[in-house]
Amino acid sequence: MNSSTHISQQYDNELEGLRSKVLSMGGLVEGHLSKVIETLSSCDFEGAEEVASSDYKVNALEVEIDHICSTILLTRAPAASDLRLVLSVFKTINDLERIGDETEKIAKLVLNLRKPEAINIYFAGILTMARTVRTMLRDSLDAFARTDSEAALKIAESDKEVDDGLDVVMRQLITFTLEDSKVISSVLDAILAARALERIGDHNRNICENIIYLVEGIDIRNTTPEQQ
Amino acid sequence: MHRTRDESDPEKPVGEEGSISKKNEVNEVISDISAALTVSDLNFYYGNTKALNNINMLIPEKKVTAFIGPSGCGKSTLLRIFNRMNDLIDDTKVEGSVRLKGQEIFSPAINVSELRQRVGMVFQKPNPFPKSIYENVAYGLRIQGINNKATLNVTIEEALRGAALWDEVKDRLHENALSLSGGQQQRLVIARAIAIKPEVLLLDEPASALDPISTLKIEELINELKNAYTIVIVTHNMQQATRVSDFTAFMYLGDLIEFDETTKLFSTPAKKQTEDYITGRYG
Repeated sequence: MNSSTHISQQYDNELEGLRSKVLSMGGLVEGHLSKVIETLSSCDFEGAEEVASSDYKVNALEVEIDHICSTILLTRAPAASDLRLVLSVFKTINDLERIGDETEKIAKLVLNLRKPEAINIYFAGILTMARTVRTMLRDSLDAFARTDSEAALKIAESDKEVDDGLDVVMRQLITFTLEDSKVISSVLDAILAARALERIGDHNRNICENIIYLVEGIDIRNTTPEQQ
Repeated sequence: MHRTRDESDPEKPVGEEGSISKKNEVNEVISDISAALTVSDLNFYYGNTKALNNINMLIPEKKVTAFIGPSGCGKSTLLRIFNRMNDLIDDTKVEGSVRLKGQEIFSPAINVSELRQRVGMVFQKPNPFPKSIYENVAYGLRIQGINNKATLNVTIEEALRGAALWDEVKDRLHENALSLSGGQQQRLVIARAIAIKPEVLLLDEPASALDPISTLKIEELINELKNAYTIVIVTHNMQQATRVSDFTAFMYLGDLIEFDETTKLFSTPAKKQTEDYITGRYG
């Protein structure tokens, strides 16, 4: 990435402002995910309630950053690394917004269930998945801030852990339903939550791919690890 | 102008040096584009000042190549070398080689007038002759000895159509060319250049003196002309370079820093100097 400053200091400020807005949005989404994890581990539903009622803040940030990107495209006609920054931010905030939606979905599922004992049993595997996904998101935001494409590639590859985690959780949950059909309703909520976490992993992977494009100018979407 | 170069084989045909390999986006299909101009080890001096430093490049045929770079980087000098306009400037010296379809343009065997017919040029400020629109376009043809009215009429209409000007001037071909607007004058000058069917068209900031609408018309025209001509354009407007050109050369202080496909150069330049220039950073 180019670290020298633009002739127009205003332009530098605009791009810096854009970067920090993305990090704020990422921080907010990560915070929501942490609150859901807190609820899952302590069965204190306050965190999940807060997430369910404040996803609009994530959406509002997406709209705001979208507008900043459009303005920069219009007024600066960015090129090279500046253009790649704007393009990757456009995509990244879309993924962050989806992560926010999926997190809200999990919060609502947990609130809908509201049974600490059921959560402790059926959401135990999901808690592990959620912690993995949160670490990935945090590391991705760090990689974005540091424009570290190597770290981004490693994180993108670790999405496989989340996919494997989903398989394990699904097998576990299906076993519960085989043993006792009365638990199907709770297990279904858990399955939907596990699926949401797997989707978060995918969006996180997209963010990492955006970082690699931003730094290296290479599009690694739909490529095999060997091609990367 | 003084020349120092190896003239041992001025008519040497273009071999492998005359083609460049262009990989497409997925790096699967490789197509060859032949070169209209081949520049080798080119140095140019104004007195003791070296204006171009060891330039090696190919200008792809029937493509638009843009030269960008800050003022004084040598892009206009290089452009003018292609039809030896620099010969007209005193105390200049050129070293190296430029081949037009394999033919050395600095060869004593080259007739400079013929070279300039093959390599036409359009300047920043429209420079129509103070004659009628018709006579402006007929000028080069008459020099070539074409005076048959029917032939002239056909060729002039063809050139004016080619320059996207015919519909605007067909009813007033015998009015003074200076009565046209700046944008129309520039297109007239392009019509005059293409009337004699050059192989290469050199455009030195062709739209910088025009309003935005006329600029867009010129850009649209460039896009159409590349089907028939090799076009080299010098421009300070980088957005224009991205819109009209297939390839871009970035020059700095007489050096060719980077030459690549325009989309590649403007999205992922290989050199930091290019990046700094196109993003508006301090070098």
